Amino acid sequence: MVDTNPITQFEIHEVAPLEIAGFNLAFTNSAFFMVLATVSVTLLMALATNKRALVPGRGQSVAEILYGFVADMVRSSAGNEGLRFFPFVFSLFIFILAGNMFGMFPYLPLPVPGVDNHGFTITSHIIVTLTLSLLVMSIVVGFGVYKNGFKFLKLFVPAGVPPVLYVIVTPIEVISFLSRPISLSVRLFANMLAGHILLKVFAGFIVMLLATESLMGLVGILPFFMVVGLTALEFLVAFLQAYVFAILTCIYLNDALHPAH
Amino acid sequence: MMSNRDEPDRSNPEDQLADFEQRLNARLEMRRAQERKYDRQNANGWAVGIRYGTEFIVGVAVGAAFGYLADLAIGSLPIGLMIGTMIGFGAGTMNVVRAAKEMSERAQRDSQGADRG
Repeated sequence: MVDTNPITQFEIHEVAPLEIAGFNLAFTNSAFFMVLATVSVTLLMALATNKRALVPGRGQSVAEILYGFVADMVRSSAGNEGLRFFPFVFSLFIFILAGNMFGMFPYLPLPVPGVDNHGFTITSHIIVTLTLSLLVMSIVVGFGVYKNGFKFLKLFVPAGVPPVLYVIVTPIEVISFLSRPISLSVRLFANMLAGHILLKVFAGFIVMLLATESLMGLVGILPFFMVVGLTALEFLVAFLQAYVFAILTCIYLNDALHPAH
Repeated sequence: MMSNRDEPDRSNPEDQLADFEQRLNARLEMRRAQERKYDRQNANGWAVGIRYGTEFIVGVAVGAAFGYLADLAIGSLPIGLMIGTMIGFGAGTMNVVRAAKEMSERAQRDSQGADRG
């Protein structure tokens, strides 16, 4: 029987085993999809911009629209000063977007014979999203302290509050700040995980109904239409979550640039 | 064929042009208003809900976790957890308020941009 377990898609497989000093550093399917996202985006961007035509062709237009989209996003939430982080935000946005989009392939085999092949969404693992969000937060803290010194701590002491209330407000602000990387990563991870499980559950219904080999198989049309609709929704979610992640990055970077709101 | 209800003064070409522009603008404005209403409603209701939910819950969870860690360090088990949860509740609320403020600011800016463009 076909495997209809909706969780199998999240399994990590070793593609090329590698062990250094007792640590398992194997190249996994997750690593493969990260490399795939990075390499394909880099190649596409290089290809699209290598002509540098005054009147852009199709590829160059896409690259320019992407550039303008992210630059607008950075400028609108972190100001012109925030543009120094443009390369970071752009890479982050494109990496997450590419990862989400490669995850939308229901079946994307690894180019390695003898390995269990299935599609994989890198952002459906919380360790990946948490690493990305901790990277964002360490840049916020690092740059904030580098640029503002001790004034960065003003972030935790909002202006216009009577000093007596600092006892309550400062811990709340600190907790609120510490919760940012977690909410940032959990949101992306939960959206991708839930969406992909939902897709595979409904796809599993089709297989199970067909496997009855009776008239019940005809009912399988219903989950099929559901899967078609959900796939469209998942494409929207894949884009929207990459966008949300990037725009929140900009907002947090704005705090590093101007700690006193 | 163009719509020929309220017939303009065809003898004067400039008048005709101005009239056409007026009608065109009215039509465009109507369509834009309709489109704006459309994407307000459907584009990101789900995303906004998830956003508020995670912001709040994560605030409470982080507060409680820190209270618990403080308890483990000092050995005062229920007290730090209680205080931490309460502070976390405040932080979660703050997160939600901040998210709402930022989203409404962005929506306002977007609609202004649409009016200008």
